[in-house]
Amino acid sequence: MTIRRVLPFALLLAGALSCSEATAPGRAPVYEWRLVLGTDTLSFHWPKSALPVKVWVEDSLGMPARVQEGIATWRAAFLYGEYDAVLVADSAAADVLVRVTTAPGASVAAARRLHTAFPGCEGATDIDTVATRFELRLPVRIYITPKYDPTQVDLTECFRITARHELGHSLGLFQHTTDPVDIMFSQPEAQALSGRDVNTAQVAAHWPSNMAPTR
Amino acid sequence: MVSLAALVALARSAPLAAQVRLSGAIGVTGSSALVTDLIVQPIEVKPALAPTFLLSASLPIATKLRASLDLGYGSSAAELTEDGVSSGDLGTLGVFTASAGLVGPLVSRLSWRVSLGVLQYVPSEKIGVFQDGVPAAALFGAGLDWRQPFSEHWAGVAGVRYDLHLFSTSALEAAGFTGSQQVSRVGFALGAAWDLP
Repeated sequence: MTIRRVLPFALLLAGALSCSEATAPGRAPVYEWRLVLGTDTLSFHWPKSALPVKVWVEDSLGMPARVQEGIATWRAAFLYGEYDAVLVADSAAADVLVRVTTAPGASVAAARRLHTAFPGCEGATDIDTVATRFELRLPVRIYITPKYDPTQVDLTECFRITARHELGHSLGLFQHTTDPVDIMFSQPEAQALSGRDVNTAQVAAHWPSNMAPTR
Repeated sequence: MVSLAALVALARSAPLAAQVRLSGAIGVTGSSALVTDLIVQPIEVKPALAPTFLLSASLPIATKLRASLDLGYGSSAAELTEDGVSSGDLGTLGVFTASAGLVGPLVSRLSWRVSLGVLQYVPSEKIGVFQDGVPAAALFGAGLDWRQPFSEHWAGVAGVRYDLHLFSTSALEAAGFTGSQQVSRVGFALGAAWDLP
């Protein structure tokens, strides 16, 4: 057997393998995620150098486990390592704080509070854009509060959905949607991220950010 | 490794034992992109140039034709580029290959080879496109080897290899990718061959 007899088979095999073509999805539809303040449209995503984002969670009502689940859900939505977060024990070093308490009165004029209502619990995320509007003051503060006595009512699912929703704000999704299917709906009830949530998070992570994290 | 040992054992017990050839080589392998995407800007995931180790055992099956079993391993960063600019990596990507092929003389000390086998990527981190693992892929390969005898049993070898496989992952399919990415790899290796006495 010589190369002349092998070559046609080899070319045939190579040709068969090379017939395939990968096509990337279009990432549509998406919803508006940017924060509009006056005439400024602000877009934020965590820079690669800030990953993994450090999250401190108050150890109450099983919230660390709920937040950990939320981090895993959002991490799985990305294909190129755009988001990752870890729980940390030291709140002073955290980029995001999650407290199990009612949100205090907004004290910073430049802060936008994104409030979420759910039948069993509620959440809020404070986005402090500082006076310049082009900086995001860290830590981002998240509040999750039970509406009922958690010893009487199982609020696990409520905490899970609310934590996922508020973490969505912390990674740059600064708007609420009008579709209940989305986790970023203002009264979230979705058990998983919608296609629009995933598309929007991916686009937001690659959209040019005009807000820099600062302390 | 089991196949390689079996081939050696078989060869040792047969009259062809003296014609069994073992070789090992070290080289580098370059690859085309595993993933090309567009999210606001073009994105590409591509293995960096990988140091590669190759082991091979062959024995004659006809006049001027040898059957060969080849194993390879390489490892490098899974580099990420956005709009043509490096933006980090998705960890380290190990690549195991196992293939069976035919080797024959071309001109002088140059020989050709073609092979079929499997390729398995082993990512160091289960993130992004690798978060749900990577399935093994069929591999087609071809190459040229130069053999320079040093003694009765030893020779130096230099080879260039090309191979082609299709790449996709569960995470890519779940994200809406259709079809598979054609991935071409080109490698160069230097090593030594030993003809069993």
